[in-house]
Amino acid sequence: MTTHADIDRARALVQCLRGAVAETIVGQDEPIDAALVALLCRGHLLLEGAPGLGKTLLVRALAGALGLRFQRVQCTPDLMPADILGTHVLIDDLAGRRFRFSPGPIFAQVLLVDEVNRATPKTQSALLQAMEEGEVTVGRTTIRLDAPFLVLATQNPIEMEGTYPLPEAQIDRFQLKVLVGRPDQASLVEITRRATEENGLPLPRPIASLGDIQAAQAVVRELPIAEPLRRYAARLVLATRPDGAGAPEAVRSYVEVGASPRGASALILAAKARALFAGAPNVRRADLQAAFRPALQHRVLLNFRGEADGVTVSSLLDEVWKETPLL
Amino acid sequence: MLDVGRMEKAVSRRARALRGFRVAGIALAGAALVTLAGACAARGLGARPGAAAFTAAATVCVGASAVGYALGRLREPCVPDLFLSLDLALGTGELLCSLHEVRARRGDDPFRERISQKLESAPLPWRRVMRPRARDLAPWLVALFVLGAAAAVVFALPGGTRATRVEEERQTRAAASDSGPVVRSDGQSTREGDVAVRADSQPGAAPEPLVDTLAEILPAPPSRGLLAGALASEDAGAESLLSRDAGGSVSEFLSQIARRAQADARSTLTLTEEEKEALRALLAEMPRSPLRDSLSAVLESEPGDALKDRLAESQRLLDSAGASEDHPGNAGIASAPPESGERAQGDEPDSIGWAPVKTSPQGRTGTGAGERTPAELGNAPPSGADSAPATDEGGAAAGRTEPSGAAAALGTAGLTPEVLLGSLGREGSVKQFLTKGVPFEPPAAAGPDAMATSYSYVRLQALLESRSVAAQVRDLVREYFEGVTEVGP
Repeated sequence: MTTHADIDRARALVQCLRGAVAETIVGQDEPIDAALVALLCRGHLLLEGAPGLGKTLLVRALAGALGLRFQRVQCTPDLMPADILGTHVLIDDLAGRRFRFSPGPIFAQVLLVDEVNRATPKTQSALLQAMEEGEVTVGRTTIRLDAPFLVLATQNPIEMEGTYPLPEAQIDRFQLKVLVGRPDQASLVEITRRATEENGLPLPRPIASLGDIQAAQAVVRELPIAEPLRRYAARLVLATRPDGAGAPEAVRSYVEVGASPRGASALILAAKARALFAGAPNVRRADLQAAFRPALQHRVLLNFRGEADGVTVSSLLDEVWKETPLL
Repeated sequence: MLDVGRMEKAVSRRARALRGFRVAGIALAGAALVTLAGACAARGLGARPGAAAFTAAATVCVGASAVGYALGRLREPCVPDLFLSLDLALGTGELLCSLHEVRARRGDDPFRERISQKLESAPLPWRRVMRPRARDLAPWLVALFVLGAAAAVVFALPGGTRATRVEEERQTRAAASDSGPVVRSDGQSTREGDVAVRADSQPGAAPEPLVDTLAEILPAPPSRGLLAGALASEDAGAESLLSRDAGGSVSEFLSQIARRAQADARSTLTLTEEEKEALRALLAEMPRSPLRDSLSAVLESEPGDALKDRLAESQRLLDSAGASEDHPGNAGIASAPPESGERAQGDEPDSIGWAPVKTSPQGRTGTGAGERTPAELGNAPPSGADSAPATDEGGAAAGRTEPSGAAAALGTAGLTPEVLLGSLGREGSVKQFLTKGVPFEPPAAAGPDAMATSYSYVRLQALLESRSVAAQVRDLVREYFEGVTEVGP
């Protein structure tokens, strides 16, 4: 049962985490908030951006501030699923020869999957069960992952050669996708100062306990959203489908696949987390708007015509937002 | 803590009332459309709606509104949506609908408490928001407009229903029965009211303000009916209208007196006041002529034999004029005067006739020897040599005037001058210079050869401006007077 103290602590935790990560990462407020949202919603985050923008550093800073077990996987085309999940190794010692399971990096609480689109689909699919169900099956053994389990993946949209775009099923597992933008001049000056003058970038010290995080996650789940707003979110998701009710003409023309029901849940959960960040006791339309694009933009896939015409998913989502009535 | 249940009921009640109000307006608008259709149908059929029809229309409208209101209230509103619309209107950050969402949670739910506290911290003027808006009022406005249109169809529009028009005409005739007779174009004596009705109902009738103005500025104003007829006449010559109509009216008048004298031969013949009035009206519309003088003498003569003599003289003059018109060889005499010094009807001195002679300002189009320019007609006194018109077979004179500077000026002004040459018995030739839209009748004070009209526009301008005369008509009058001034005496 959530109490006022839980709400206050959850909000304070968010503020502290945001401040701690911001001490390491400069000028990336939106990715930081998105990572916190994914954490509190028990979701996963896909960061997309050019190299050198601090994606990996952000994840490392967040993991450091959370004080959770952190693992990192650098994806390459020859990466095998066993390299992520773990494998049975033959042990030959005084006790005899036997197989023993050696867990892979997925057995962590915060997992950084760097350049996830460089891994083969087979390897990428190794993450499917873990991300959705929080457990891993190796051989005939299913192993439960420790909570919280947060996957933060990065991908580089520029170097497409030798990459394997995430399949729909895989990408739908990510609650949010955030485009990591380039820092402005002031941020760049600060980044260079820290990188060149200080003795390395300091990672934040753990400021949260597992209990705090789980309590905050519970608060987010209980935060109320009114029925009309829930219907509104559903209409928004339906409007991203080319055959959905209320879909704008551009969506009908350029979209191959729209958002899934999982997308609707992700939208509402993200809106709840945003409301908590803002200190609101309820979900507002503004919260839905803030969560709309991160929650849905990776779930809308353009068709050939859309790709050929240079249409962007962001512009389509903007149109969906404008065309969908609240009442 | 905010009582969301009570607020929910109040909001729901208000929403239902508003919906009922809107649906009632829509229903009333529909009923009003039906009423309008009925009014149009009644107007088309010529039936005048009675009290029962008005009662039925009112009943339909009221009933439709009541049913609409009931139906509108019947539907239960969606309270969360209502609360959300209130949130949007009040800018509360979706607190109301969220409070409705958590109303079922336990009393100490922290979110519920926080939402309630936030709502209570600021006033919630939700009643002010839930007022009839444009979309609620629009059906009522439409309904009122349509009902007004229906009322206008029945009562206010010009012409009204066929029955209304008949009734109005009947009333007009009844009102005109008190006034004197006027001359109608078909030569029959009738009442002024008839002329007024006819002028109103015919396209191209003279505007009433112009008729009033001309009647006011003329020294001896003719009847309004005559003015209206003369002003409205664009094709037929006004002179013909007057000469024939006056002749017919005089004939009828004299016949009427004669019949009365025969019926009551024993008593002394005298004119009743009504007959005197009718005679005065006839005199006012007649040009100076022996017949007119004779009739004037009739009016002033003593009862008895003197009156009979005057009447006989008038009848004789009238008969001679009629004979000149009916003479087959002199068919043109009725419309063309004889040469100066000649008699159109043999030695009959009292023949009267008018000849409209068109004058083209653009150039010479006629061949008559007696053609005269408007300037000549206006400025030169008539004489035998000057006014000798071209004589056709019947001895009638007709011709076209030579275009002169004055005529050209008239043409420039857009006017079509018409020259009327006439002979008035012993008094010799008389010339009338007319243009379209000008009263035919010459001023009573003018001599027989004087110009019919010549008035200063400056004097008229104040009159025109003081009345609601259309600008187009005003310009026409101004152009006319400008044209007349240039060629006038």
